Amino acid sequence: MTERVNIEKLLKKVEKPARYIGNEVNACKKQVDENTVRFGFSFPDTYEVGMSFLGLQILYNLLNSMENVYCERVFAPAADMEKLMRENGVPLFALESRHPVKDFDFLGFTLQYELSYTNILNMLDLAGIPLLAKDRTNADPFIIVGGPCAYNVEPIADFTDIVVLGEAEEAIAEIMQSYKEWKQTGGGREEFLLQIAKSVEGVYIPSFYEVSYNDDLTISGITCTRDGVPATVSKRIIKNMDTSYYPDKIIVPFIDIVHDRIMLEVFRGCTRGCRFCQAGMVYRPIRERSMDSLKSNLKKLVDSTGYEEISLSSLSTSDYSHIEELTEYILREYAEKEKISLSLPSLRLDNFSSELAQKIQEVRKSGLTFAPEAGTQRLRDVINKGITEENLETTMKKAFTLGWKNVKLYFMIGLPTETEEDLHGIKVLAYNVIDYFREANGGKLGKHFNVTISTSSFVPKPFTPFQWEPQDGIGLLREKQRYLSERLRNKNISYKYHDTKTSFLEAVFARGDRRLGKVILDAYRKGCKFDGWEESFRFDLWEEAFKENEVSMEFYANRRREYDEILPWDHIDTGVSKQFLINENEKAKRGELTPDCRKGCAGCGVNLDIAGGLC
Amino acid sequence: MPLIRSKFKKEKDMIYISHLDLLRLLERSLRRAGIKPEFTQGFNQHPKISFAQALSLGTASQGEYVDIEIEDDIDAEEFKSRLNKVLPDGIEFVLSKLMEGKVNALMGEVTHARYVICIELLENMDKAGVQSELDKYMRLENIFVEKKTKKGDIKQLDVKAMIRDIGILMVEDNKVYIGTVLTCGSVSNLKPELLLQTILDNTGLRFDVDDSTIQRIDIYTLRDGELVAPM
Repeated sequence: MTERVNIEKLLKKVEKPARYIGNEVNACKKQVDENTVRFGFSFPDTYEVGMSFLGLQILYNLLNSMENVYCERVFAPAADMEKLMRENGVPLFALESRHPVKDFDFLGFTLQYELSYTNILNMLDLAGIPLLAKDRTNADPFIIVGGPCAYNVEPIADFTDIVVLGEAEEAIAEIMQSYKEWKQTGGGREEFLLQIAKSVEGVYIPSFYEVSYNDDLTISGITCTRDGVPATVSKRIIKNMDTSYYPDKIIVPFIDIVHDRIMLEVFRGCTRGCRFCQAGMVYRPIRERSMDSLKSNLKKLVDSTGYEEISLSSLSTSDYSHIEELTEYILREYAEKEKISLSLPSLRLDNFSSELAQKIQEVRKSGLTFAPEAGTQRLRDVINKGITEENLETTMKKAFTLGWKNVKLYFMIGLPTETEEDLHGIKVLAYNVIDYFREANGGKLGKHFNVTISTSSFVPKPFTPFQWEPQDGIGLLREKQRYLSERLRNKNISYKYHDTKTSFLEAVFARGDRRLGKVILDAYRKGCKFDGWEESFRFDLWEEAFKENEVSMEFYANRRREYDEILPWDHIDTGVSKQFLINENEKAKRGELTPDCRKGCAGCGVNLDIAGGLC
Repeated sequence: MPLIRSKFKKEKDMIYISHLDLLRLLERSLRRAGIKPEFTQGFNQHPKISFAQALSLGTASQGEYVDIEIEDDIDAEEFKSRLNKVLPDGIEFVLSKLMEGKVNALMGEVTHARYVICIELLENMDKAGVQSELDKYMRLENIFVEKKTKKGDIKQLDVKAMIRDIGILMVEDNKVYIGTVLTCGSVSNLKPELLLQTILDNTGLRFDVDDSTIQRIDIYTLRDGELVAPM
């Protein structure tokens, strides 16, 4: 029988020891016997980041609702804890049982962002599991991955046994069933992989596909090497959000985490069609939950967690058909009666109702956040962000009249076709906001008024209309940031921007292929981990690893691809057709808008097969 | 509004959650238990919950106290059992009492706390040997220790007067169990970790302060020379 790791003495010496203790309210405790399928739901970052992820709460509870399956949580230990674990021979363990994860049947990693890849390797190493899929035996768990980066998993294909594409609720249940059957037969690893590749829709086994390259290192072909396994793998979706699994309880952490509140998922998908947005493309089609289902679910979540805050979580929450009714309901039933506050993320300018915001404001005074994304109407049309200057002006003025003093505006720099005029547009917008405020406040600015301008650098993502576009080089992005910081010097404006090297590496991985596997492995061996954390990001080591492997970063990040080039993810089908993406890219060049598909089908293709008439 | 004073334990893995975490846990537990607390007025409303004295991270306790103001009259026993049903393993309410009349704030009342500390000696020593080291320590006229002030300066602090009582409870192999009563509260406060540092500095006992186990037994108010527990 597996023994618990002893971490008592370690806990006294680390920061935030509660990251490692488990035992939170609603954490699942199960008896383990030889028939139990052990699943380690792993998040390749710290506890505080991982616990903020809604998908973990959904899949954790779903797996634990199954008989003979025990799902536990695994996070990347912080540097201080990792050091002590290595010194004391403590392997990576799961929070619930404190059992080493090496003895588990599955270790499932969620891929939320590209810069977490080295953490996966570090966690495997800490667990004592071979890093390369080909070196694993029946004594090792299967490494299964999912999440947004799984749509192009090629850079980490070497380390991965199983990929689940799309929404995993149903697929994971089918995989567990197949696994139980396979375990009885006592067969080899490959037999199980073959079984699920053939029978479970949405399952992609990277080792069953071979990639060949042209002399110029572009891809010449992707071939499936097993009979009966689909040449193209389609993503999985949940067809009915009301009948699909949604947990009645979520784990309530002891320590403060990034998103420490009830996250109520209102719908999946997004109809806006912003051309840079991967989530907006890959999560299609739109599927809403009914008011009844939301109300009853919310009551159970409030009762089981005792949380003091509720947030509505979706890609563009204010697009929900019954958003006014829902927020009014929550404010009436929970804010007034129970002192539970409501927060609404990702408000959009064009349908933002200030009356709605004011109601929320009555409960909690928070800043207003908007994402115009680009500084001029021309560029906003290019990216299909249907927001006008007028929208901005009306909304801001209303908000300022109602007493708001903090506004955050999010922009992207380095978008396709961007010119100096577009950067200048960001400056103009920022100063206009100051004017709107002054106008709404009798000509005065006051001490506490602040506009935050935040720019991220555009990262072209697979399965978007911009997947063929080059990213600006680091030098150019830095120049653009300097341009803005010189022009946004004002006591009422704070300018924030993202590190360009981080965005560059993200762009390399986002559209990378299997040639990156050995680079990631080498970078990890040189000491790269927690690359998404500024204080531990070692770009110099990454550069070394690329150079030694003779792999060019620019080839992936800064090169324009032709429409007829075979892309590393061409054997994956998200339902949105390549032709649609090409058309959208062409429309972008002409600055033509594609209307919200709630107002008429744009013909992206998802409705033809995967959604099967859902939208 | 009714005010309920409770004594509770914080032990097992729950010693690793901070004071703020505990406050948040209690707020949420009240909601799960269906008990409505009174809220403060104003901009940032929060439930009226006040503790006697914060406990250091990593320290267990058999005697923690908290005052909670509630909206509706509810039997103290009922209050306690409803909360215990929703609290995680390691936090347990052992006594709850409805307070009558004007109640002094818990925090202002506390003057002392009793601890049991277990240190692990790096070199074995019998009880007599340990006792003579500790006697030597207690005979010191001043026990100075360096302490960082809030401004970041290093200050010499004499802790001698802050130790009301100290003695050896048991020696078992290399483990020494020390019982002690130290000042605790807003006027004078000696953390057991700091006490251990002074023992390390002033005696021949060798041990790792970080590897010691500290348990708070109870907290008191010194009244007419007597140590009186809050309830």
